[in-house]
Amino acid sequence: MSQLAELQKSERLEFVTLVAGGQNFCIEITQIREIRRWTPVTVLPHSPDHVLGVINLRGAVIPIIDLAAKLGFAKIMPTERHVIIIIAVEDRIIGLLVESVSEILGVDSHTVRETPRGPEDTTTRAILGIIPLGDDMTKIISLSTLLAPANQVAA
Amino acid sequence: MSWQLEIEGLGSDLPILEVFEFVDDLCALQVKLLDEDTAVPDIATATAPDSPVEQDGMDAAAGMAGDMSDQKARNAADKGSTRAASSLRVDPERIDRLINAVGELIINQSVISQRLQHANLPNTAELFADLDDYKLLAREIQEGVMAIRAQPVKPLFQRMLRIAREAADATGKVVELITEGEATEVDKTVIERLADPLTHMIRNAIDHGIEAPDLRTAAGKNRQGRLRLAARQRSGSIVIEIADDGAGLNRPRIREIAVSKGLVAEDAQLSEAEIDHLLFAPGFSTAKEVTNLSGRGVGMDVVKTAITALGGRVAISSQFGQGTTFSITLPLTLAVMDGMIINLGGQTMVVPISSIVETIRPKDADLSQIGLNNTLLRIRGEYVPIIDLAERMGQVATLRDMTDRVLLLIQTDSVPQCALAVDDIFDQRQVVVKSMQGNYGEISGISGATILGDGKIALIIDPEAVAQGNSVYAVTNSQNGRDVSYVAAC
Repeated sequence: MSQLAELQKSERLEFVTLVAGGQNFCIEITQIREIRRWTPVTVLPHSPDHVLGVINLRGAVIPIIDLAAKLGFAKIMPTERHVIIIIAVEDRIIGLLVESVSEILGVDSHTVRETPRGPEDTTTRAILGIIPLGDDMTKIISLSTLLAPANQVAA
Repeated sequence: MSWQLEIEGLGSDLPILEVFEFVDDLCALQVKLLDEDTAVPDIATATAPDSPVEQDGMDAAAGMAGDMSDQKARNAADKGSTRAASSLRVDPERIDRLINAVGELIINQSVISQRLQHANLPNTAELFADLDDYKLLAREIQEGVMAIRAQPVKPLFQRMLRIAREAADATGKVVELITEGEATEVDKTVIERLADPLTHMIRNAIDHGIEAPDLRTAAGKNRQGRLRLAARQRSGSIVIEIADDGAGLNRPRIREIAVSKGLVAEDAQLSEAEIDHLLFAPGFSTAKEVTNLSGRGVGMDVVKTAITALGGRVAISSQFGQGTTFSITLPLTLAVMDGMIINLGGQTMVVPISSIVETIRPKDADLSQIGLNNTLLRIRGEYVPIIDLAERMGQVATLRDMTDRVLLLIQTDSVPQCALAVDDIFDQRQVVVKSMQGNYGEISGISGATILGDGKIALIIDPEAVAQGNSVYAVTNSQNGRDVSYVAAC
């Protein structure tokens, strides 16, 4: 997995851990722009289920995606307690709605393991690697895989 | 480095400008008519940029060449001499920053007016008069800033003269290119990004449109083909027309090719307009053989993409044997537009005023049902289809009574009149257009978004796309493509 190798170039890695669809995930910290509280969105017409709508982030129009739904879990019913993580992926700025954000996790890069390859689905395909944490573990989300423009259609 | 040339015996500067058109972007060219009593005559001064000191002089000259008529006249009146009009060379990034700031100013202005309206002040308060002044000033500043970026299309059109000449030489045809409305001013970005599509369309018109001289004589036409390139301003937009008096579109043949390339089904029923639009399909080419000019399959679809990217559209009208006209409609400015703020099922949205002809509150007698779900509006003896915008925007279709709603009568270039049903009209104001393509992708029927006074986002409706969604053509082409693209983007 070249994305993982790329990540392991640096010795020390930092992740922000979060909960989406009841499971632990984490996102590499350099991809995160900011974390903010849920605010109501403007709904987009004809949008897929996981796209909640757009918000105004200091003058820019940012789409908000339900991370749980995007990963194949049930949709999150957003309340004031839910959190939006603003991420930058390949020149695009996107907000991800998650259930909660827990902590910043610093690990040595060699502790990151490759995702064991089993039967693949939407979620496992977007997992870059896993980090064991005592009894538990957390999964690194590859944003570029998860949010890749699947097939660009020339207009 | 600079040269001065003196040419005698020419009554106007145009022939010289045409000859030197090829250096247009590379250096500053200044052509002056020789005064009889001028001691040191400067007729043509060309300066090549090689030192910073020289460059300043060149900037001044460039500015002068740019806005000849207006500036020159004013300058002559002011000084009574032929001294060069002073102009300023500014980094475009600074202007962009200024435009952004003005955009924020306009948003801020709408925030303040919205707050004040909710503040329960007596209507007589002087504050409201001041607020109106503020509104006017904001608009004036915005127009001023936009004018900095505006440039006449003349240099662009002059470049097309050469393209036409070359294309005519290469195809052995005799073509005269007539330009109109050269003084029309368009945003600089638009001019820059219009050069390639225009070049392509001019070449196309000469290669495919205008016939060979012998064929023309046989058809009872003048040997010399006429190509008209015209620009004009029409309400909120700029229209550029490329019209030839050639053979016109051969629709049966276009259809045949489209079928053979698998672009349409063999038994599809297509109207003339739908066949014309096939020209814009990717990979479409009518050329029987590949020439230097065209027929390589990269064609009108690229033109269309470039123009759509500028927020414009292309329309075709053609008469077999009489010629073809392509008209490009572009927004005047890219950043700000006048919009009608509407309510649609609780959501606030914006419809561009430029496409609204009038707003109507229909009476029962004006409405007639056609089929189960469709309603027609009678207006001045005409029947116009009503499109339920809420339904088109994917909201729940509640077959509500049309008499409760407001109808916006829409007229655009490529679609016949139709009426959009909305719930309410709030206001009419300037909005700052924010693109959604970067972060999200294209959505059918939506051209962008704007930020309202309360900081919320309102989507800007693309009335033409909504109206086109009605026709059969949308199914064959745009709709499907778009559906895929926006789902893919996130």
